[in-house]
Amino acid sequence: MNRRGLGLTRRAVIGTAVGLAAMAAIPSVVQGADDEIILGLVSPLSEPGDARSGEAIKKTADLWVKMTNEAGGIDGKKVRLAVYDDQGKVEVGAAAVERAVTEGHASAILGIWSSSVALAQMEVAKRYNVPILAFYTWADEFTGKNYPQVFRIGPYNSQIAAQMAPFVEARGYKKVVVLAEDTAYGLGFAKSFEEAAKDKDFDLEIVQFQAQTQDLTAVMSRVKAMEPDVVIVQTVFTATNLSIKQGREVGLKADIVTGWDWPLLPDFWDTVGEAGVGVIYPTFSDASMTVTSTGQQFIDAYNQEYGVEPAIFQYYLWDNFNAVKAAIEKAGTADPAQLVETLPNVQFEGTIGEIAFRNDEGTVNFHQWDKFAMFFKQLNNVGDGDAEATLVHVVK
Amino acid sequence: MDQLLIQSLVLGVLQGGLYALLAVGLSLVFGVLRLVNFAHGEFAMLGSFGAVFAVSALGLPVWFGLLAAALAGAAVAAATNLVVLRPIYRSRMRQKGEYTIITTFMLSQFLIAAATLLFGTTYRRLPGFWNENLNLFDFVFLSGNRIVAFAASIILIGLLFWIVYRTDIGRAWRALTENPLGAAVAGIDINRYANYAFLAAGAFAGVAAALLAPLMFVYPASGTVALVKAFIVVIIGGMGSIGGALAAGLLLGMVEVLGTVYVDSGYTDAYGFALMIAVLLLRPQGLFGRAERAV
Repeated sequence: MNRRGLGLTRRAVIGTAVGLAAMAAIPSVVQGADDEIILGLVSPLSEPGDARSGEAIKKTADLWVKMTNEAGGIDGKKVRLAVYDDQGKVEVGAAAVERAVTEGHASAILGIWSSSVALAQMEVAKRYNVPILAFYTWADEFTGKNYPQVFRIGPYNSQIAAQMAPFVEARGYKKVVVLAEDTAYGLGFAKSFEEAAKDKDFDLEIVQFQAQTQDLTAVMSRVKAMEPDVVIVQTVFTATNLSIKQGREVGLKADIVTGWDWPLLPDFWDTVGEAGVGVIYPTFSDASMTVTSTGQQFIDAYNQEYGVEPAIFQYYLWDNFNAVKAAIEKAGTADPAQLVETLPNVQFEGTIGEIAFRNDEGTVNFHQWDKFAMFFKQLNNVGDGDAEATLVHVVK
Repeated sequence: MDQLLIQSLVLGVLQGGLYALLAVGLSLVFGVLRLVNFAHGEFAMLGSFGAVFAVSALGLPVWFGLLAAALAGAAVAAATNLVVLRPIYRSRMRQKGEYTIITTFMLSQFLIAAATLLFGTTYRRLPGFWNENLNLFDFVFLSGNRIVAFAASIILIGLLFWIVYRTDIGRAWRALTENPLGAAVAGIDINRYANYAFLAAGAFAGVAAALLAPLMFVYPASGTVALVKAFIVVIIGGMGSIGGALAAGLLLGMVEVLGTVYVDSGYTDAYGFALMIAVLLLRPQGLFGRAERAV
């Protein structure tokens, strides 16, 4: 038989088959079943986003869903995650939230991370009137814009800067360099710290660098030449551990204070080695911290599931999920618009205390929970974890 | 003389040597096949993972890690040539260049995703040959591994020069660069020498990444920046010119470091792009390129 008898070429047949396969692979837009609640998880799950943290976020979310469903779900309905990767990019993150809402039919958006991305994502959430919750997105503007849809259980830049400046002064540092990545988080902190340092007895210089850099040697050489007493590093990507490692390589003698508790991440000592000894990190967690029964349940379950302790930011994420759960139970519905109305007034036991949002209009403390202390700890030996670190300062 | 200036100059030269090593493979493939390979960075990334696996997981010596990196990079490059690119450049399609760009870009995304799935997102480091922080006369402070990486880069680039100008393989590459049709008529098997070019490109990229690994970190997206630097070097030096890649690499390293230290630390990549744009405007074929490209 003539292959052309049917009017089909081999290319057309292959092309059609590939097209059909591709169509089958596209997630079908199906309304969520009536007996399930869908929550959108939009996080950096791949590079160039902070995928290390994204992995921790996904683990926390998966565990919460598993435990919630094992306990019977929310109001008898099973919970399902609609997971989207924001890749740490503004445009991808915004599109991911839009897909979570329109395609995934998510009742709420959780798991957001990078400040620069979150500021775009919240605009989408506002447009669709869907609640969006942050836990470790530090830009003041996130809640500072007072959008009804936006909530945060976690710290923010000006608050951290206000707590860090007295610590710096108390340590007797006279020349301070803030090394900030060029993102809303890094530059936002730098600006807040500059404000907080105005009446303090130390000189401050801010050195900006590209967030995605893979080599900080030139930047650290410049910082070293400034002869600072301390370098405060505000970054999320490879520059976290690179700043310490390469700082010591170029002969930087200053104390190094990390901007958040990344030294507790699994790859810290493997990548930084001896250079990590003496590093000071701020954290919101300490043995003296009150952990509620909810918190202890989370810690134990996480440890059992993954074999490691959760980091403090994962506690806040857990609280985010429970906030949504509390709102759904209070409203009697998972309708996003109802959750936007209900969330501001929820009250429940969080991992480290009672959670209730502050709703101070016109301020950053709008839909914000901020009842936590800041602990500054120092690593003294290679391999030290949070338990072995020395507590050097507390701000409550 | 100012300590910071000397430190910057030395850092710039050492960094530039590594940029050159990253770029020579890209330049070679372009010179021989006129192909722009957007997956070149992933040859480097997978090479560095090969080194990490050999040293950290199997406990083999560091020098074996370099060999593993070369083998891993070469294997991925050869597979890319055979499976992805040969069907394009041996075909009769008219838009070969465009298809190559699209295919290699998609391949790079696939390799990054695959590496993320296989190896995870944790940063990994590779021990080096000289893991000490050096203080040279209180003027230059740097990691000993940086000196090792530079020295190895110069040796390897020298080796490539030797291959290109002193071996039959190199003569075949030069012939293909000058006139592919003429080379084919003279009996040079384009498939065979294209394979060699890809093997060399992958091996060099893998070793470059393995030399960088003790200084930086290994992770799935680490090849992205390597690719950008390699492209800038190739464009500045002249596409298809290995000598140009060396000179351009050193120049790029210097410009980036001096710009970061003395102008503004927030625009490191911009200095390289500005240099590239300037070269394209003033001398589009690159500093050492010719209108009729040569390896």
